[in-house]
Amino acid sequence: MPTFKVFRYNPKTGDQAYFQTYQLPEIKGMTVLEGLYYILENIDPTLAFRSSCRQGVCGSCAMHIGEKYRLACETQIADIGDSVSIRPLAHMKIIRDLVVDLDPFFAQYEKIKPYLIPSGEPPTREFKQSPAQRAKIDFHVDCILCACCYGSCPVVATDEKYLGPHALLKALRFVDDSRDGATNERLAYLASDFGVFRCHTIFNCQQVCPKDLDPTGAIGKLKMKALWAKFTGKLGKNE
Amino acid sequence: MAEKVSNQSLVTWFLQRLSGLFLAFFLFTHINVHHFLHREGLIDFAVVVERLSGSFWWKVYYLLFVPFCVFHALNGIWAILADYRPSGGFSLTVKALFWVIGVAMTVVGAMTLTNLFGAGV
Ligand code: FES
Repeated sequence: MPTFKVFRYNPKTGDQAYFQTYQLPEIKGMTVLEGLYYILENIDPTLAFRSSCRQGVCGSCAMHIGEKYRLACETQIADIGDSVSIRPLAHMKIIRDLVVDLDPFFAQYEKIKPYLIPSGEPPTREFKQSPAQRAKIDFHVDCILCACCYGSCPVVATDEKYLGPHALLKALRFVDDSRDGATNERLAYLASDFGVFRCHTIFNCQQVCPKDLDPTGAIGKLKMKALWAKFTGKLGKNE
Repeated sequence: MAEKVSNQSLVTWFLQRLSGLFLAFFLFTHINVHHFLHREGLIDFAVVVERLSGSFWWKVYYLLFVPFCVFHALNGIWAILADYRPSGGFSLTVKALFWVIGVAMTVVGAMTLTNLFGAGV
């Protein structure tokens, strides 16, 4: 019979945080998210957690399950053992139980200007992009911004100004995009004191990414691109 | 990209890798030449002095070894401290302190080496 030890905390009550244990029925194919819904509907209606799509697309059910940050909707209870502890994402303020305040996460994301900045006048019809040019960014667009990488990153833990693996992975998507014209300005910003060079290549982000993306590798590529731009005098103005 | 930012960490990151590469070379040659390839009995003070005073290139080699070591160590500690985003005043004090320590250690190292160069046997 699966047992969930769920982190409970309500800052409004002022009570200490604690773990509450719930016994669940054994149902073949049950995911952790379904288990949490089972608790909510049958055992404890006060439990708070986020979810939306239930199929690994929206990224809202990211939490610490067992020993790893994962998506609750993509994690089978059978795969993680009978007794599992469930905690909220780290490095963010807890709103209640498993729900955290994602504002800082999205604030960092906005800083990298996650949209195309064309160099001149936009074309009257469409931007032309060859399949090969598109293939360069295929990998990074799969990020669903679930914050698993952000929660697992020790640099985020100590430095609230660090842009974070999610923002840097997405940044490479724009740097590598043939339609974008602000590459050197982007690199100047990403090479700043809270950008790629703060990463210690710890690989936590890569290990936990539920979409098997490689933020560590993306940061490595950005480091090389920024260095090259610096040495060739192309690193744009970062103001 | 609206904030005014500095690219200092790009430079320190690069120099840390560069000094690391030099140190790898230095350590490899130092350990091999002075320990594994040394076949004439014990390595004592006299052997070290003889080697240091005998060759111009060994002198250059060790005079470079010291500043690279000092830089790599202090820059590495700074990289750790920077993770905690120290305030402007604190980071300025630490940087000034590191410069003083760095220069002092390099000078003391260089003086020790030049003494050895001239010690003879
Ligand atoms: S609920 Fe959307 S990713 Fe899990």
